[in-house]
Amino acid sequence: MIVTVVDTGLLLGPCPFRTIPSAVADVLALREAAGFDRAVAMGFRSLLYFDPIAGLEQDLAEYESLAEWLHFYAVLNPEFPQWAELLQRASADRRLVAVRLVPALHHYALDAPIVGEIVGLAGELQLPVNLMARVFDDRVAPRFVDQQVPSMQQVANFLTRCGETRVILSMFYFSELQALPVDWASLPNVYVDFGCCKPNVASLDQLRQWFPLQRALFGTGAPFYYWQGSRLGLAGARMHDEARSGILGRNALEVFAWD
Amino acid sequence: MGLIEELQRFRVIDAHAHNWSLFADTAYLSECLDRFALRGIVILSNLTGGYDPTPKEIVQSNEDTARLRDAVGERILPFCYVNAAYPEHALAQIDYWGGQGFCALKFWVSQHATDERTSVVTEAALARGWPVLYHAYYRPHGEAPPNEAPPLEIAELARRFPQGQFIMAHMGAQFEHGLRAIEDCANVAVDYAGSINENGAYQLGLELLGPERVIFGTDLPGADYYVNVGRVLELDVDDEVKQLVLAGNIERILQL
Repeated sequence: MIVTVVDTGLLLGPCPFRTIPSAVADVLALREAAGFDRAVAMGFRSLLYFDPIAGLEQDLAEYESLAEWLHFYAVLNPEFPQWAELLQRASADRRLVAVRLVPALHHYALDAPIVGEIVGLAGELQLPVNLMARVFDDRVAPRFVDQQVPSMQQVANFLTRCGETRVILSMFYFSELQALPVDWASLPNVYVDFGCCKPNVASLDQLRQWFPLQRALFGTGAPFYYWQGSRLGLAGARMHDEARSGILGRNALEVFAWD
Repeated sequence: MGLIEELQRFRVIDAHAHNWSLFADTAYLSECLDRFALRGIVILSNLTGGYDPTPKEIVQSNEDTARLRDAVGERILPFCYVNAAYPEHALAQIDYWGGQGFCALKFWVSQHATDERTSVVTEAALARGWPVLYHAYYRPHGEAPPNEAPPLEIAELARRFPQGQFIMAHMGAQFEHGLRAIEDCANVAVDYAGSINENGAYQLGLELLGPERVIFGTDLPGADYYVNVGRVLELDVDDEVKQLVLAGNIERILQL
């Protein structure tokens, strides 16, 4: 069986807190070691710059030579005046495959009307919306980073309002996902990235019991986070190979509408 | 070679696990030992009694560890759990369980490492030739358990007993802080057990401490075995170094 591997959660670019190996040569080496065919990344600049478009442009420029297989989330802060331009920019550039919302760091409410507006417009533009719970482990984020993960009730309300727009949840912990007061079966456009979710000894074995595996994705957070453990976790989990290969890549082809 | 096959090339001992939650089920724990092909697993108690266990709860915890060892066999490496806030009781526990095949001491969060009572208990454990595994956390966020020891306290304790062997758990949580705190204490090894998964922890540990002071552990069952062991496999180091981390160092420390 030929397995397509898509890492849906790389964290690239200059991290302000420690040096991470994310130069072009490092990313090429990571790809060779991890064996992924495509990847979707978020650059620290597009997340942290005052002007997220300027940050995103730098990310795209730095990794231009990898554009054939390396895609990016367009991190969108609803309080930024040109969010609509950024959305249009994302829909017009094949390197940008989804909008990413990071309310934990940009500090806005998920039930704000503008968030609904963004989700609706993204849907019209056929862009998935990625909701990232966190960037840093809650316990060891730098002390001056005020990371406020939305409550699971807020997340549940957000999901039920998203309608036809494809939504991806990333960097939620297993304990949070299992506590979400939602019926996953009734949210057919919601995908979850389980690659960086703090599983316990049985989490991945039991995943099929509560989540539809055809909507599970796998992003490791590399190179900010270790990748091989997460991949080994999936390799060792008790599930059918067909489901495993879907999580590793096939499901991502569907959510990003790649051939 | 697949990832699982790569893992199977190594001998692995998990030097940090607990018999609580899913591992309160002995059959499931045994099944996991087989499934993961672990040569051994250090059991650090089920932490009955929470942050400040009573003597009765400490006894219950150690008895549960002993029952597990008796049921599963020699792959269980039992550590004696104590609360140094009750020093006489802790000393008696060390004495008793030392005669029952326990092989090391475990401190969690019920006493600071700088507490004089901790030193008394530590001295008794070291006198038996036991290493001391100490939970240590540097917490930039959230409220710490009142008597939790941060890494700098572990360094202070280790300097007080330079002949003793210590293991600082979790690399102190925030790995740059934790590793720098004990860098100069040659008698302190570290594990990176748990769900914090930040790339660079093992690399910095090996760079600052050398390959003989970095130990593999998982914090099972609260963390995933494969996720933890994969961090070691990912390292760009010789297989000999990986083997030291995955088993050799804890074998030497516990004289297995």
